[in-house]
Amino acid sequence: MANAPHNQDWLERLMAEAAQAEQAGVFQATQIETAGLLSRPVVRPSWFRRHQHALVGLPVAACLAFVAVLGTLHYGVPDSLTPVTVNGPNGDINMTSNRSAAVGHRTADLLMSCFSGPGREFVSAECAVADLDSDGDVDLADFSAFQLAEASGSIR
Amino acid sequence: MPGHESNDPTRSTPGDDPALAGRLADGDEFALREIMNRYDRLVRYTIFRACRDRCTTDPHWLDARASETWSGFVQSARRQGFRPPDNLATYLMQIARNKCRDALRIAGAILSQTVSGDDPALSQLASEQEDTAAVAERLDDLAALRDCMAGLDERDRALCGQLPLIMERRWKEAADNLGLAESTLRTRWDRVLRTLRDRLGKKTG
Repeated sequence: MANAPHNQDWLERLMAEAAQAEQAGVFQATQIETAGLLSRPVVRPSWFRRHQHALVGLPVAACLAFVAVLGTLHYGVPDSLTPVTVNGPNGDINMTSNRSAAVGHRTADLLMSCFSGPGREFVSAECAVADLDSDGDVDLADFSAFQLAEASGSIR
Repeated sequence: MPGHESNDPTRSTPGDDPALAGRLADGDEFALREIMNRYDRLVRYTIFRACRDRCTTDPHWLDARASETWSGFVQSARRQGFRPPDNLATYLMQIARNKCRDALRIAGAILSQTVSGDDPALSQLASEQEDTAAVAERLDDLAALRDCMAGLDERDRALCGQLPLIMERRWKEAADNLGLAESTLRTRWDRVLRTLRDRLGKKTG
């Protein structure tokens, strides 16, 4: 109110709104039985409501697992690794993988599971495959090399 | 914050809003009364702003939405795991607007069986974002002005009854309705406005 413009239009508009509000009943009190409202039983979330995330998540997880099993049965598990060469940012990088279409997927999986960070040794011998720049760790440099190789189709 | 005056001697000691909401969650009726005492008018004004056309054409619309708002609020507060909101006024205003939206949707759904197209009030409501403090301040102004207008004498209140015509500057029609000369109406209207402005200034500082 202190900063409001006290000109005629402003006051007339306020008067008009006050008259409308009065007519609509803004200044009356809401008649409601407070005791009645509070006497209703406390609403407890239903069993479904409490477990809805699990109920949705579990079938989705089961479907994903089913697809994964089907995929494994169809394509088989790569058991032999063969050397491949990747054009890395600092020249060719030798890496090993099997010669099937699972080359990229397997390396990507290894990168994910073996990611140790710069300067930190990888946890298992198998992770050596994911060390694309052969610097003794699996870090973003290896991931970058893999992405570049995948994008350029230079896995040969 | 404007609220209804309460003379209930059994009223509990007013605490801050979250504490009151917490007590309401435990079923304290006095806490509910106190919250209503503080915010009922704001809730009603929010409903009025959200559905002004409905409120002025249907005398029961505002009461119905206000009752739904308070019922909804109590239901939320009594739900297990309820966390009192930091700003109770904003929370109640949101419930009130949602109740208006729901009611407009239902009315619109019934209407759309015969008329195509969305209710313009509904789309306007969906696009509006209101600042709680600004709405509360406007309500304060309205309540103060209402009090000032109530203090006018009979003759000046009759002039206020011609406000729609006066706002459109249809002085002649308004003067005819009141049986006055146009110049007299203009002079008196200026005096009414001056009086109201002075009283408002004194009331609100």
